[in-house]
Amino acid sequence: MRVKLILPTLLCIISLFSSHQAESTQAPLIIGIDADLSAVAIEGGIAISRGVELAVEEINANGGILGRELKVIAKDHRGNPARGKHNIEQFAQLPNLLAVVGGVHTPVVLAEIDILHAKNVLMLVPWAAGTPIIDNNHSPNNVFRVSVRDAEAASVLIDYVKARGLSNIALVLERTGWGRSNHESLTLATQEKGVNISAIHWINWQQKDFSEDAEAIKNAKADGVILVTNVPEGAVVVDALAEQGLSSLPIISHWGIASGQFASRLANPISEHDISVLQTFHFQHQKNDKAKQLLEAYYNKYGLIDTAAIEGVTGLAHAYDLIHLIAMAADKAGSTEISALRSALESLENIQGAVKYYDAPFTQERHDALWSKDYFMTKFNDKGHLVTVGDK
Amino acid sequence: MQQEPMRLRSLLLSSMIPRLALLIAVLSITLFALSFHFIVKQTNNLQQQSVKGLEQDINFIVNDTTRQLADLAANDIIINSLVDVEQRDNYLPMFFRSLNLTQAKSVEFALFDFAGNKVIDKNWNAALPKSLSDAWRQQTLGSSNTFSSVSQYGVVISVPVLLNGVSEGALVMYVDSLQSLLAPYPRLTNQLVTDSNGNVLFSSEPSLIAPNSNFLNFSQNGYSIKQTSWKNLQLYSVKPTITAYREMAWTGIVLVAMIVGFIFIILHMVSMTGTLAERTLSKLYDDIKNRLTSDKAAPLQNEQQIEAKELEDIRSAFDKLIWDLTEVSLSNEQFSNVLESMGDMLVVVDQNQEILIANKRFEGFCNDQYGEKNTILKLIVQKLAAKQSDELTHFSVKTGQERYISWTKASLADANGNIRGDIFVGSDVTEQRTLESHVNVLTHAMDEATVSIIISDVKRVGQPIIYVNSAFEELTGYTRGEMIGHNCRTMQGDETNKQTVEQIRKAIATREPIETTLINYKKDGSLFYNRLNLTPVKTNGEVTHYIGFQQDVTQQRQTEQYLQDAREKAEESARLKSSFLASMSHEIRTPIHGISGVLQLLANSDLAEEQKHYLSLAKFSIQGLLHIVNDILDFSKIEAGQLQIEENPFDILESLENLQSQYAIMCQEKGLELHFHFDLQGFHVVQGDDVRFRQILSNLLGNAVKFTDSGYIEVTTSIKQNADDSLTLLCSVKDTGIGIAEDKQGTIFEVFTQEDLSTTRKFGGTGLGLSISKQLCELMGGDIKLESVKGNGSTFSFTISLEPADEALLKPVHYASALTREKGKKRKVLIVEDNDINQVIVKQHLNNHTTLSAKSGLEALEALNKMKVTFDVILMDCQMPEMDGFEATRRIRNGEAGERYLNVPIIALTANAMKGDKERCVNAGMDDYLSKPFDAVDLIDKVEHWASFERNSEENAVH
Repeated sequence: MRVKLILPTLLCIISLFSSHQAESTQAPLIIGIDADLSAVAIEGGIAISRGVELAVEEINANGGILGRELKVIAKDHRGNPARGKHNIEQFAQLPNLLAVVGGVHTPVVLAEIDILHAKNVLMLVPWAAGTPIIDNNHSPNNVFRVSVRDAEAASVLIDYVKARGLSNIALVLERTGWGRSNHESLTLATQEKGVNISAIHWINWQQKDFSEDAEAIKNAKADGVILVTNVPEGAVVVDALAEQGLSSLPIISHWGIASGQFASRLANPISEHDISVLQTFHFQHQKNDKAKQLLEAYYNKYGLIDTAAIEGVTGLAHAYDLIHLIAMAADKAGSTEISALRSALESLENIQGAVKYYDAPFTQERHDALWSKDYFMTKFNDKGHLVTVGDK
Repeated sequence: MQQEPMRLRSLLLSSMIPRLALLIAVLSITLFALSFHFIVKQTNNLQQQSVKGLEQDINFIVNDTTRQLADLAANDIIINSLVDVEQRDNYLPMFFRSLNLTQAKSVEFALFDFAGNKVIDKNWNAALPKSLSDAWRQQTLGSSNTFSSVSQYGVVISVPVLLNGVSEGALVMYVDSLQSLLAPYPRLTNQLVTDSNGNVLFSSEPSLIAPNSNFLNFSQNGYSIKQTSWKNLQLYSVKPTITAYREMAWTGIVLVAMIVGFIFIILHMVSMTGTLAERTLSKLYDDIKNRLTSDKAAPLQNEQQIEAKELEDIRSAFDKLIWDLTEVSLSNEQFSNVLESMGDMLVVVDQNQEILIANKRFEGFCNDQYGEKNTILKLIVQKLAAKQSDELTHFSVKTGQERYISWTKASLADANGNIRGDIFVGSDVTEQRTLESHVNVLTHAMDEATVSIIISDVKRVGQPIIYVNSAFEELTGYTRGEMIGHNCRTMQGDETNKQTVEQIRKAIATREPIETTLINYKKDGSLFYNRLNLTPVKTNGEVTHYIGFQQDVTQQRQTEQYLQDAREKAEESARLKSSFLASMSHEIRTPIHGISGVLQLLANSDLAEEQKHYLSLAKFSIQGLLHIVNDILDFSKIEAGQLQIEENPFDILESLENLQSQYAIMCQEKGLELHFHFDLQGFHVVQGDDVRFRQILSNLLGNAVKFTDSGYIEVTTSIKQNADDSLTLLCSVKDTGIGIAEDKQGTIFEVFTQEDLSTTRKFGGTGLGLSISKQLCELMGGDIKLESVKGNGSTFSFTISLEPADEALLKPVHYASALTREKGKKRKVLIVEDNDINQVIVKQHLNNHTTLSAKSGLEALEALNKMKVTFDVILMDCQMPEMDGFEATRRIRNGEAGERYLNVPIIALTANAMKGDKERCVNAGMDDYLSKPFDAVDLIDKVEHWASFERNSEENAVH
């Protein structure tokens, strides 16, 4: 019910906003959002949309791009790759499309790669972390990312495992392209860093029972679990482990469970568990002016809130930075033509973003803007909000 | 005899056959109609059932398959495959190959994505028309609902694959025809399913109606058809009419066979009956004929043949008739027997008064008279002629008394009416006359009796009075005539107690005697208390009458009432006296407490030796005063009947040892020897009143010490067990004191008695002690007595009853040793006390602790609520203005002083010493109590005990 209400409300806000700008002589440029707004990572989708909107408002307030206003159109892919592909095909038909901002789910973006290049659409990725999303064998490459890269995430997660003094871990991965991308990079990282993988378990989307796997993890005497799933499956895994008496087994999670409402889905209070989550952004961690400006704008538009309680805050910051980056690229190129934009993005330099100071956000060979040194670990506080480690 | 009548058998048969034929005809027609009706109905039911079954089968197939399909769509493999585009080909095909939902062979499955594009399938060849194809997409992908359709194009079922409540794909099943799905189910009749156009989708009998043909073309002649509809489909049951009525024909044949058999059996039975009757009647006829012709034939007996009962009866009646005829000549002997058997005398005389017949009774009578029979008779005839009455008196020779005989005379006439003589019958009525005179005497006696007597007939309606005597008339003023025939209620009125009347009614109804008193009214309207004694009178074992004796007890009643009033007044004044004493005791104790407290405070201050001596004198006086007040209080309690003897287990040995050590000091001071001897037989723990036992003994010991100047005091205690297991304690106190003169010994236990006034002057005392001791002994089921010689000492011995008790029942002494008290720790104590002096005293006694005082329960609650410090103990006076201690305690226990004081120790300070104070304190929720006046040591002891008492349980009883 809630899901079905959010989508129309969001579209309504966006259309109100765009009608305000309708007086511009030239047709506005369009930023597409292709994310899950109603199925399994709603809060992530909303955070991305808000990041885009806040950046677009700032840009429009400063005269838009090349004198043209920006307009946002959001389409809901519900985490379903087939819907994602359908959305991209529809966006490709819009004459004034600048770029499309993707969503939380790696499988959806992966399924869209071929169409994106066939239709020559720019894809900005603020969340999906799968390594093959960027390493996609297309040249020129239309996909740019300000987010975690699984190959990098693996080394950060394994370093953290070692720092916690754990040596015998179990992997729990979702049975999708994202899970497999992490399986590969985690296997590599453990071999390099000398950590033993005692068991590997796969979980389907919407799987409700993980008890047999949890028992196997118990029997394998793993001293920690690396979790690569979204919120619904993550909660199933943590609850199943708790039923085996493993409530306090350290869980080191990729950030799939950071897309919102994780604590409320658990059977037991989250304070009974020991869960660490990989993050790239937190208002308590990034204290630069751009981040402060983002928080100010957020407060103004969406009301005061505890910074730790903003769900999917990484999506917010990543999307915000990405929109500013594409706007700067367009200004630099003086054109909205795709190949010119791509080249301009690859040659931007010395930019203060909310997430970090980008010396050169992208190059021709490197379409990922964030690397392992930009990642850090967080933990859930008793309210179920993520806080930086040591700030509980 | 020209026209031969018909034989009995032929007659029976000829009259029976037409009726029988008619009956059979009616019966067969009815049976046939009934069976026809039932067969038609049964066929109908079968059809109905068949159609219903078909409907259930289709429903089951569609619903069950839909449910299974929905389960499958919820499988996480299916959901995951929609997301995992890259790798789903690794596991989805295997999963799909294993699918099998129905028994039909040609089942086709496919998984479609959200846009209706096929993801994977199994045997999917479905060529669906566009309308159907759009319909399931619309329902399942568009609206996230399940969809099912049965039509000429086959069976399509689709279910959504849901992600967060919305369809992300669809799982679709298709079977090309309903025929293959329904075929395996068993059928009651031929069944058909058609669509709304009559196209046959399923036929259970393809040879009769081919699938895919049109049912509208089917000729329905000769078939019985039932129809119902299910969604867009029509369901039919088809049964050939022929098969239905074949059963009917069989029923007809069986019926005809039964009726024919029935006719044969009846004809045979009629023929048999006719033969039997014919034979018997003929035989009987022969027998009678034989009998009448022969002189003396054998009785009508026929041994060889079986006969009906009725025929046999006729035969024997006939036999008897013949027998009676032969006996018709009766002998005269019997006539004379009749005469002799008469109870009365009978004499028949001719016209010359000569006796013709006389029975034995008359002869017996004559033997008892002087003279000969005829003379006697003549005398009787003369007497009767001379007298009006027919009763004569005759002198009996045997008994020497008169006999009363009542004679009747009748004329003896022959057949022609000529008088031949007279018949005299005499009956002896002597006994009757004796009874009559007896009754007469009784009646007179009752009549003249001074007690009012009435008799009523309880067998008659209204139970009327049938007799009243003169005393009754005198008592009530009613005359016999006014009462007889009326009910006793006549004498009742407004003030008559209805309940008593009801009791009387009930007693009469159950034929019980009753004695009661009720208000009755005399004829002049004045009322009187009637002491009524009703007794049932039995005649022949049945109660027929009630006799009532009445007595006017009005005066007696008035006296009783007067006595009752007097007693109540006396009791009331006793109650007043006792409550006066109780309140006096309280009033006196409060100032005593004040004085005692002040003296204790003084004792603690710096004093000169002389002052200390004065102080000890004052303290001694206070002890004495208290002792006297206690004595008076005990005495008043005994007087008011308020003194209760407790029944608790106690250690009698310990009590005795305590007393011994207590009096040892006093004796030592006076230079007396004190000896205690025990013979407790092992019963040192017993059930009884420890306090009162010690009071008695202490009293006797006190007297002994008081009245003995030199020598010794000896206390002997022994216990013996009685037959009923109870114990008797015998205790004697012997001294070598001044003794008591013999003439005073009788009154020494009376109130206010000492041996003489000089004793009072010399030794002091109230004179209540011995009286109280005696009363206590009696209350405890024993007694006290005295042996003494003036100048040579006295021996007081007393007994009391006790019960053996289990040592385990002894309540542990609660705190003396159990707890290690934190001595000297400063405690916070709240003193709730309205009397200023007492407040000061308590504060002074507790000057080692922090104290705060409140003047009433209200002030105390206020202080508890407002003060930040937490008090360790509360001392609570019981009687205070505004709010007393009981109420204040109840409120604290209810939490009105806050959570922290729910279990605070509360010690009651009470000046009351009457029975029940302790219970009131416990009931109000207090933990302990101190009776005023109390010692500083006791007070400090209790406060320190309770302050260090960790309360972790429901422990709050007074020990």
